[in-house]
Amino acid sequence: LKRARPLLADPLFLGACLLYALNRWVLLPLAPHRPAFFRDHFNDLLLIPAALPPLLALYAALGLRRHWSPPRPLEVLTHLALWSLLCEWIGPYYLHKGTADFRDVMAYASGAFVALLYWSKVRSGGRARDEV
Amino acid sequence: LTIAATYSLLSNMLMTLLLQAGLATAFGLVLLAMF
Repeated sequence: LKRARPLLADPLFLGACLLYALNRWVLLPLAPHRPAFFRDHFNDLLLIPAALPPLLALYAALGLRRHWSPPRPLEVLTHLALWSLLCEWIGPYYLHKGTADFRDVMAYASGAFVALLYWSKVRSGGRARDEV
Repeated sequence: LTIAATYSLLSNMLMTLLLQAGLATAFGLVLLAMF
């Protein structure tokens, strides 16, 4: 379990899960008429920070990923592309689930960009600590 | 031997990629309901 710490005890991941839960299960029932951004796009910002670390931990646990370090740029980009296709094209048009909105993709990408900057910084910090 | 080793390495990589893609797609279907 200690190995999984960089992925699952990451403050960004935990914070994103907390914000998702707050927005979905607390703010929505309490304030159903909150601003459209919080209703439509806020949770989309949290897609990559909240959903990618547990999947990468699963890969690592199954031996499909060789390390437990924070998500790398290629991993973020490939999952962002796959999930954007799934949620905004295949879901709405073929599974009749969800709505296709390009602004959702922009929100996923914005969240992914911030997460990528954060995880790059964490990785370089980790390397610096290892070198000391 | 080198060809066999390369083949084995490539097939392992391909299998890893396919399994990752399958898991990511299955997980994406869950996300579709959540996000």
